[in-house]
Amino acid sequence: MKKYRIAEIICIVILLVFIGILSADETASDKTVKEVAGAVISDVDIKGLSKQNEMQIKKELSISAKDYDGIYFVKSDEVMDVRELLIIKLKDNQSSDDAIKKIEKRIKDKQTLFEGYAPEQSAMLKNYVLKQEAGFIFYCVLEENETAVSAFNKIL
Amino acid sequence: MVFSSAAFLFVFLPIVIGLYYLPIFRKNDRKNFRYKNLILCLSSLLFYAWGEPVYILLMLLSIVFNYFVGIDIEENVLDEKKKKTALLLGVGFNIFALGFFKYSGFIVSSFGGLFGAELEYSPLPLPIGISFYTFQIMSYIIDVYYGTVKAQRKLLPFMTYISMFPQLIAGPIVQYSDIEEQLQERKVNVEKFAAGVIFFIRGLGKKVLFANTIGSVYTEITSGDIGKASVVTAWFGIICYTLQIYFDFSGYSDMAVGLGKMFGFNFCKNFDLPYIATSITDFWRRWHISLSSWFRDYVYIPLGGNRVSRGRHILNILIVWSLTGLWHGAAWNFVAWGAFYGILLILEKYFFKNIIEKTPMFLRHVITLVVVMLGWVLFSSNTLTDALTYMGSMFGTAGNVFFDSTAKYLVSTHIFPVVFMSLSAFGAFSNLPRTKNFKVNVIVLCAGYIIIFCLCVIYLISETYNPFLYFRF
Amino acid sequence: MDIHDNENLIYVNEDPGEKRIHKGNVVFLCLTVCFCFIIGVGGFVNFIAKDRDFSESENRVLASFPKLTLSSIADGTFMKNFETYMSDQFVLRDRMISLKSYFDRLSGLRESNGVYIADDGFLIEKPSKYTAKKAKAMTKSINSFMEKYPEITKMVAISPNASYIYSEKLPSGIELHSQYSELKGILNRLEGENYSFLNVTKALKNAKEKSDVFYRTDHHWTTRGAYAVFKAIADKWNLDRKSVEYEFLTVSSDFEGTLASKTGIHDNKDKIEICLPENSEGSYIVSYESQDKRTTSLFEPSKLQQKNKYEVFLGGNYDKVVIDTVSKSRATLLIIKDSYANCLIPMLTPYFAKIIVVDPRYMTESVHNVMDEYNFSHVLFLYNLNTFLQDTSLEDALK
Repeated sequence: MKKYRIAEIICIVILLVFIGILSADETASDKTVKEVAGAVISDVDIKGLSKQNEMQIKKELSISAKDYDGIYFVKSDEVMDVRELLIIKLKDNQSSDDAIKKIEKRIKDKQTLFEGYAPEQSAMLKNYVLKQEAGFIFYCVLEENETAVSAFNKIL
Repeated sequence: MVFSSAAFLFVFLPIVIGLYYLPIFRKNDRKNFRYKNLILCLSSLLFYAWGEPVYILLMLLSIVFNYFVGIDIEENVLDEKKKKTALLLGVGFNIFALGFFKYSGFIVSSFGGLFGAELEYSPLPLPIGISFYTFQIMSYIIDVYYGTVKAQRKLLPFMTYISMFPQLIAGPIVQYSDIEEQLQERKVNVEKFAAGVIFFIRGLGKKVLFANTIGSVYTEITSGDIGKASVVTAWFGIICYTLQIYFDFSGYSDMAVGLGKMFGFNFCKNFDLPYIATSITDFWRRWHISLSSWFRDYVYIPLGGNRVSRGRHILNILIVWSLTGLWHGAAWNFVAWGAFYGILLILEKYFFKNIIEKTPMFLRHVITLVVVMLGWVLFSSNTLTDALTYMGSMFGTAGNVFFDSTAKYLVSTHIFPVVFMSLSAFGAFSNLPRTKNFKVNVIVLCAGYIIIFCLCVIYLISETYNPFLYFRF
Repeated sequence: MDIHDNENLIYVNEDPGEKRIHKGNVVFLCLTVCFCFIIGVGGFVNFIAKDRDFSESENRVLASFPKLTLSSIADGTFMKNFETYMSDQFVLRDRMISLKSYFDRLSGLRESNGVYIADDGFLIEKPSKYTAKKAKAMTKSINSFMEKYPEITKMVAISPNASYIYSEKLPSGIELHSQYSELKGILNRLEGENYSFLNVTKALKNAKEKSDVFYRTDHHWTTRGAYAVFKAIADKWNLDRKSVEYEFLTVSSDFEGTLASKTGIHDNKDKIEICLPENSEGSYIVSYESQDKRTTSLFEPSKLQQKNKYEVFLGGNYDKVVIDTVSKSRATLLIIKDSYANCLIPMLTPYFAKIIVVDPRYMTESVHNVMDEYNFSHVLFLYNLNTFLQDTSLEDALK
């Protein structure tokens, strides 16, 4: 019977496509950081957070804005307010490893800073979101992490 | 989702059991089993998607593909060549999927090592349970090829067979021929359900009360400088690991068998007190039985089994056991572990047969246990060097002291659980005394299992104890 | 045949239609009903039970029901968070945890979460790892700091921890590296003029004969322990401590410290004493500059109502606290410290007109700025060895 063979072949093709999609580098989105950040902050409350300029970004994250296609970073000026939101757009085919490593270090540093001393801040820091998608790196410590993430996913 | 989690025990399981045994589907007829299979199948898909929201597509694809392959083989039953093509296509697909998702990283790095090149390749994460369900599927298409079973023409029972959540992620590897009939119709009654409860609680207890509590000892010992550990420390560590791996694995199998029974299925038993074995051959008759039977039926026998020349037979054994090792994980130490058993089995069969027969039972038992423990050192070490260092400490070859304060502390604080668990692993509690009074037996039994279950819940909730401390003083 | 024997025990028949043993049915029914009851009712009770936001005994925010979004399902965070939610909000969670720790001890375990369960109800934290590298880096930054102030009287006092002072109470077989020799190693590296180095081990060892010098359930020293160290400091600096009477008052007798939380063992309670120099109440002004707060007490009684009662001393840890006393002395003191010092500071008030307390872990400015701001006659550097070896902020603060 031919039809079973055809069905089998279709399955094999789907498997190969599936593997292809999983292993392929995702295509970068053509949105700018401004558009993405705008979409995210229209959905979540970032009152009390202030936008950081290039110098401050360099100081806080040791990431220099020149290396990337755009960075948006807001954080609170209050010591005890751990909320922050960071969106980085990578250049074409740029590796995200360096930035991710630096962000992870920041999270760890912040966690050690508040660990054993401020339970609410620690709980928030534990729930951080760090993800990479379509040429963007997204990191946030907010009360409404999920909303921020879905806004981020939607705009891409 | 794992069985030993609050979400499984108190949300997933009661809902699935509730739906499965809805009063309107009480009669044991075919129509009701269609409904029951549907519930089981959907809940299994949910169960799998819970841990693998993406890879569920892979599993579904695999199910659909092999469903067609099964029918294809059977349709071509008279045309040997076409039949063979269909089989090869099927086996090829399964081995490719397994190979790609489980072994690609291993293959790339091994080849890289061979040519002295560091290849940059980050493999995809391993889909849970892929080794188990791929083997189940292969047992099906190969059996259809040999005509031992009929191809399953209905997708639902086939899907139920592959995706059934009790055995989906950690075995046992149920061969299709064993439950072919049960998929159509099976006895579901309170006797079976209660037996399922017993198996399940036993398994849960093995995992949560035994394996999880003893696991830290070995991790702690190996995290230190193992080359300097005292002889007693090294032995005590591997004893703990030996107990842990048995209770962990067989606990999971028991839970699977128990859940299977709750839904009316009978799975073969997977462990049969492996640590009372008196030879390596005996050990492998008792350890992970479903895996060794799978390799026997689908690799060893097709290779010719023992009805070949002595040299070929030895080669067959080595192939089968290297593959068995590799099945446990994509790393060389697993291959070494498998080959270690292959060699031991050959020695047992061809060289030491007479000596073994003359050795007293007790000694045979001790020797087997020691060999098995050495096997676990190989199995658990990250590299062969680590394994050799550990074995060195066990036998004091690096001038290790026999006994030190670490050993004293570890032994004195863990001796009760270790003795208790060892007795249990040797089957000392298999025949508990019972009174002549039936009522007393009933009460003791029910109360006993319910208490064990409650203990398990207490333990698994406590495992998530995670106090926030003002330790920054 | 481990598993199958039990089936015989309850007479399982694969095909009960053929040879049903009716007596067995009672058991089957009984077990089935019990099991289904527990998981069903357990699930239901958990479903209707009110979620707690905060766990008093674990002192942390508990997981709440995760938000359901497509992306949180696709990347699996929903499932992960749901499982955490289930176990965090499980009914009777706290009870279960203390039961479990009871079973653990019953089975002979003498260690939990990095804390040894020692004799006489003592919970003793595992000491931090000593490395020569860390000791060298720390002493180097202290030396270069102290070097800048040759005319000021300086002292470094580092306390060992309970794991050393009460080493005889540790479970048998535990042999820890001697903190005494570690301290000696550290103090030997220090050098400079007008500079004394105090190994307080002896003082604590002598004092422990009379009373507990460490809490049984907390990692701090007791006020009695602090008093012994105070005496050693006073003697070294020739403070006239004989002229002042000290009075001990018990302010709480149900203190359960951090180690009780860490292990989940709540068998013992400690008492907290405070130590007052005579006629001292109301005789000083304490200002917490970063908090914009002023009080007239070195104690914060409201903290006795909360879990971490040790914060009664100085109200907890702050970056900088300025204490003005009515002492006739004209000496001023800077204390660079961790929280061990909090209960000792009141004892020093009779001898200094002004005491500035800085905790480098919470400070953003350099300690040099503080040195410039005030005219100190004394500097005391007071730490315990565990914190000292784990410290990450001191080197920056001393730069």
